[in-house]
Amino acid sequence: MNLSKTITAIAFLTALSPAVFSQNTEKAKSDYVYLTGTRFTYPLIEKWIAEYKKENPSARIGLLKKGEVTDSANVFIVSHKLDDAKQKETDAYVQVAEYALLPIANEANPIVKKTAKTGIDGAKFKELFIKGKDDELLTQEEKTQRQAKNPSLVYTRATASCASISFADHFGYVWEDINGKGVSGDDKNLLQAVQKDTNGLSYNNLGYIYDLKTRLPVKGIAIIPIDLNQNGKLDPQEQIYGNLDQVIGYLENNPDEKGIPTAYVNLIFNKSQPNAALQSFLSWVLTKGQKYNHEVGFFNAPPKALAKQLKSLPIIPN
Amino acid sequence: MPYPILKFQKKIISLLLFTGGSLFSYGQTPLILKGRVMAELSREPLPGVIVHINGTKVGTTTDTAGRFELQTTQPIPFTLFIDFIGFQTKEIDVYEASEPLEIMLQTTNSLKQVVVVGYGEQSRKDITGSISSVPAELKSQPVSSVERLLEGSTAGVAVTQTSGQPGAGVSVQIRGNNSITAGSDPLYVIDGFPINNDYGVNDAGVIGGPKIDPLSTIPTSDIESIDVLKDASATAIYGSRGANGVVIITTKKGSRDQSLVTYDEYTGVSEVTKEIPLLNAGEWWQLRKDAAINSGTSGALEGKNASILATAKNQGYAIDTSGQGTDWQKAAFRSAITQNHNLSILSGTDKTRLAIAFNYLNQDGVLINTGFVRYAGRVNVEHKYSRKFKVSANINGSISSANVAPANVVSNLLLTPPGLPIYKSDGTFVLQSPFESANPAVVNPINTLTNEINQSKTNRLLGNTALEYAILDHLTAKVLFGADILDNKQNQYLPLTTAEGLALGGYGAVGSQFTINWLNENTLSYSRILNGVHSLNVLAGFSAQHSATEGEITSAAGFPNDLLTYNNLGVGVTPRPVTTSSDEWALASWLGRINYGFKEKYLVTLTLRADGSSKFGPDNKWGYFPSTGLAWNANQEHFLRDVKWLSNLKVRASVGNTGNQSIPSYSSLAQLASYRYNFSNTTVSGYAPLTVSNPNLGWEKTTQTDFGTDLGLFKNRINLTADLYYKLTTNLLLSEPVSGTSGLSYYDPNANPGQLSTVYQNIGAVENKGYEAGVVSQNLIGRLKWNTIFILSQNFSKILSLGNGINQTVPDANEPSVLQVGAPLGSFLVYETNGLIKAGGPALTPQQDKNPGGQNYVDVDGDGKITSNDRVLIKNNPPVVLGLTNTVQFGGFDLTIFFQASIGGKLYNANRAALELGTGYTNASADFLKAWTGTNADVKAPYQDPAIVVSDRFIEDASYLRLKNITIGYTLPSRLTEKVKIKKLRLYVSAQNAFTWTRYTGYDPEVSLNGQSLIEKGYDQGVYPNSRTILGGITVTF
Repeated sequence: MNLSKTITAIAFLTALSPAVFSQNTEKAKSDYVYLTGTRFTYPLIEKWIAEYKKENPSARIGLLKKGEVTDSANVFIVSHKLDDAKQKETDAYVQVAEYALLPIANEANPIVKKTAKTGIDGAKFKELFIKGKDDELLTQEEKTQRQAKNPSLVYTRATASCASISFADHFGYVWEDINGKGVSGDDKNLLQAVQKDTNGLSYNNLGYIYDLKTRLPVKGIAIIPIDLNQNGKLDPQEQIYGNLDQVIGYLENNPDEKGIPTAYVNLIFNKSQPNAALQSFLSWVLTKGQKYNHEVGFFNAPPKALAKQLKSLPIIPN
Repeated sequence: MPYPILKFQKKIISLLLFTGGSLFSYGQTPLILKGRVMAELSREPLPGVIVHINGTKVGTTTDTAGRFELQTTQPIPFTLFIDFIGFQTKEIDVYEASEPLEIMLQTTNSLKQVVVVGYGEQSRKDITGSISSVPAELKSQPVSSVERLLEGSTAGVAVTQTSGQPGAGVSVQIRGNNSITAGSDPLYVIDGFPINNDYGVNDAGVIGGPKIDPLSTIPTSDIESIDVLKDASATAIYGSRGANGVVIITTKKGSRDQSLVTYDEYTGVSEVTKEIPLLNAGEWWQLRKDAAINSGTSGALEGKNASILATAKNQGYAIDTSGQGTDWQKAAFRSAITQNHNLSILSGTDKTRLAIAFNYLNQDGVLINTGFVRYAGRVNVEHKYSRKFKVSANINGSISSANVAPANVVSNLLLTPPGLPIYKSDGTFVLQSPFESANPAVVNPINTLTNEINQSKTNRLLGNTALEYAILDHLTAKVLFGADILDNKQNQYLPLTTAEGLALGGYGAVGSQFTINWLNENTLSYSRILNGVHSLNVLAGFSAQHSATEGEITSAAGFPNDLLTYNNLGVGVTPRPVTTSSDEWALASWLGRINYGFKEKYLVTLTLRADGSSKFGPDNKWGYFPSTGLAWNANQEHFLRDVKWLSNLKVRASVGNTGNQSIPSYSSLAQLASYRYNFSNTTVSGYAPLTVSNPNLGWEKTTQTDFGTDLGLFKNRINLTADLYYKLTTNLLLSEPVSGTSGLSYYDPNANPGQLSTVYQNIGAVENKGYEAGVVSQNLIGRLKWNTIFILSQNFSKILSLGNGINQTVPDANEPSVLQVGAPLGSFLVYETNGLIKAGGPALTPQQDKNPGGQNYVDVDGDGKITSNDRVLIKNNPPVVLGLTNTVQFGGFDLTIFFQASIGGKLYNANRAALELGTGYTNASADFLKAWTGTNADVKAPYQDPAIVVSDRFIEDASYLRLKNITIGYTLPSRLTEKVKIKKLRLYVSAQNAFTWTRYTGYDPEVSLNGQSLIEKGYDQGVYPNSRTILGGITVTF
């Protein structure tokens, strides 16, 4: 008896719900910000949302992670270089932060010792990470020799991801050209793979490489320094990798530095739909939000660029 | 109620069960991993891709949409292997399975990238020489002999099936034939062991008929790869044996990460490709009459016929003079069954690789009572003992047995008169044709095939073991020991129930030949890249090879019955001479090679081999064989680097010397021959000098120059190779007659008395030049795959010198082949026909009978007679050889179509010459129905009576287009087969030699009586015909 009543009630409510929800949905279209996208940016996005909500408690804003209903997301986080030609007419994007990728290895990997004093430059980068045009042409003997010379095993993301795309793009290649064992999962798993393999060699973003509390490299990971001025040795001013803030400081003071792979965090949205909530959130991010970047391992875009974007924000009809 | 379980207790129990159950399942919650595999270039899904988890048996294959789903209890993270033929293997570490994996596979280059060269491996980009590899799709064809895998896939390699006898007759020529008397086979190297494929090594000398190929002991399913070395840069490392090219065969080794058990079986039916149209009994009886008129002997014919008919009646059979008679070809040919079973186990770990295989082949021949059976087994082991030390061992063993068609049996099939029945009225065989016939008598071929024993059995053990030690980082030492032990036994028995046996009173013979060939190779190789731009590979080594053969032949005749056949020769009352023989040769060599590359753009290869052979004279024992190869990888240059569609452009050139040492072992020494002489009534045996020595006897030397280019387009989707070559062979080993004043003469009771003795000298020269081109193209990639391989070549040969003032040599007066300075090898010297002898007209013919209706010839020297000076030279210009293979794959279906064509080239149809004799003693071709008779003046076929004249009448165009192989296969979808733990199941149907389009009137335009001899090639007489085969098979992989 009880059961049948409960069922009826549920059925009734379910029937009504479209009516209830549809109203909300219409309004919601212009009034909420649901983000989804590059997973390694989530610490930053979550931080922004938390701080923004402190000032705007009623704001309808949230981060949708995989497994959740991503259909309702209206802002997409893409953290690699965008091809303007491929952008949809109705889409616009804002560059809200910058991040860097560094080559890392397991601290027991012999390559750490080898490169500690000299660092690596563009050519060495390519040799370690990028597939030779004719890798498949190597004979067994040549393969063994190569391995003896450089026993590192490169790990890379098995599928297309912002980190692998940006890393490869830094050398003028595509992510499929990175020569390594694929890791499925996300960048955290990529880091784990290196921690587990004493011959592991890979790349990852600052936020995962460094412990956000101690600001030092995480356990088991060593950073392969980059010889920025390409003089064959690591000068004192190039030894910036010991501390996360040192790296961030260097990157912000040298925005033209080409030696370190960096890319923008872009937020893409549909500009033809009026969205006051988004407008408000974005202007906050471009101004107040920036001070939270360093905390989670990201750094700021040059102030001029930020200002310019802020000015052009009113592309969102209000 | 005893012990009711209280409600409460029930609840506890169910709760416990539930928790226990869920705990149990929690520990073992299977992870479900889904994904999709696609081809990177085309973005199309790939069905049938193997996806498996490393270290477990968990695996599956993708469905038609490229999707897969795996369930495993393996803890995360684990490694996933993705494998598919034609694509590069991919490895992925799986950390989570919440999202389906999108996997892109990159195509492998359709051209094999790592090539086996002499004494090592090289990547294709580093090669300066001309090397072709048999592509993967052609390696798994169901053919019975190894050489046939080379058909249609490698330009410049001419593979002809010279006989249809199972186990015999494949002739392989790489870039023409360099030699006149020495062998023309390429050197075969199997797993590093150069083997002697001279057919003589597998021939005890007892039986006649086609010779069994020593390579028939190796099953084709064992083969991993075949690389053919063609120019001097590649072959000079084999020095004195490289002149004819080198075929390197590598057998399958185990794998490093999985175990595969494969069972492959095929069964097929073969039929002879065609029968030659002959006269029937009635037509033939009429021919007898016409022939008698032509030769003016009609008066005697009735008497002759009557006596022959009476003889037949006495012997218990009747001659058919008006009906169809006997179709001898139909009686001798049958549908022959072939069966092949192969089981192979490939396994291994990181350190050890193991391969074990067994093969059973039973191939019946299309002629009754002929066939070939082989049992073979193989073990390959490779073990990395430590980081520096590697050990490997390969052993192949086989036991094979062939029933060989006796010599002349095919000729007899064609010539036996159709009026003769096969059996007498009492059921026994008619022994021989009672009609007048030449020597040898025409015996009943069905009787010969059924009752004569003509067997060749071969046991072979080929093995080697190698130790490799990495002395330093860049320096490796390798020591190899190998042995090839070949034991051939031949048995022959001519029973009293056959004509040939009856003539001897029953004849039996056995013979055997046992060869041990051992090899030791020691090499050091150094390999280094200096400063990132200079790559250097140095090889140095010493090798020793020794071969010893012992043989014996015993025969006897005069047996009381056939019960024991050849197994108790002691019973024969007529003992025959027993012969034993022994032969030994040795080869010592120093070899070295330097490969240098600058920035992978400019490549140089230098090789030098010094060979010392026991076969050559003391003044000339050591030969030096250097070669140089240069190559330029033009696509690496900065001005071509950015051309996206050009993935490979290499230009190469090479020049070098190689040698040929395939002559009998003791040719450089003065030789004595044994003779028997009668002093009064005593026969004694003694020796007398036969030839003088030639201390200068040395190698045949070939200098070869090659220009070639390799081109790759669109990420190597299209690969083109083209070569131009020129080979000059000097110091040809030819027999020169020794001057009569030396007092040496060769006494042969059958030959002319006082025939001059001969000695081997290096005096001739031959030139071969030609072009080769090959295209390999992946036309469509993606769900529908289509690949094409096209090859084209033509080789022009010319004899430059035959020695001191000799312009022309005819090896055998009964055959048309001639060696003529200025003409290609295989040219013909024949009389030129000129219509028919007309009544009252000039009768220009070398024959005795000059009656009208006979063949007229051209009087070249105008002396009014036809003599040997009236023969003309007909150059056998080289054919253009083409091969076209198309492979299509869609879903689980695969289709391969292979066409082969030879355009140009001539054959002398000796069968036809015999069939157009028109004597009426033997059968004749159906064309003879149009022959001249007294009343039928408008004819096409003049008679030749009474002897065959070697003329251009029988030289025919041997061009052909043949559908050599068409195979359709279907691989069952993996989701079905996995239910019974089968990784792959493929069914296939194949037709070989399905259709041939040719104007040649003989059995098959590919044949040659003289098998491996290429000066006498192009001569078709009584060769075992080729057959058309349809077979079906199944391959199962566990």
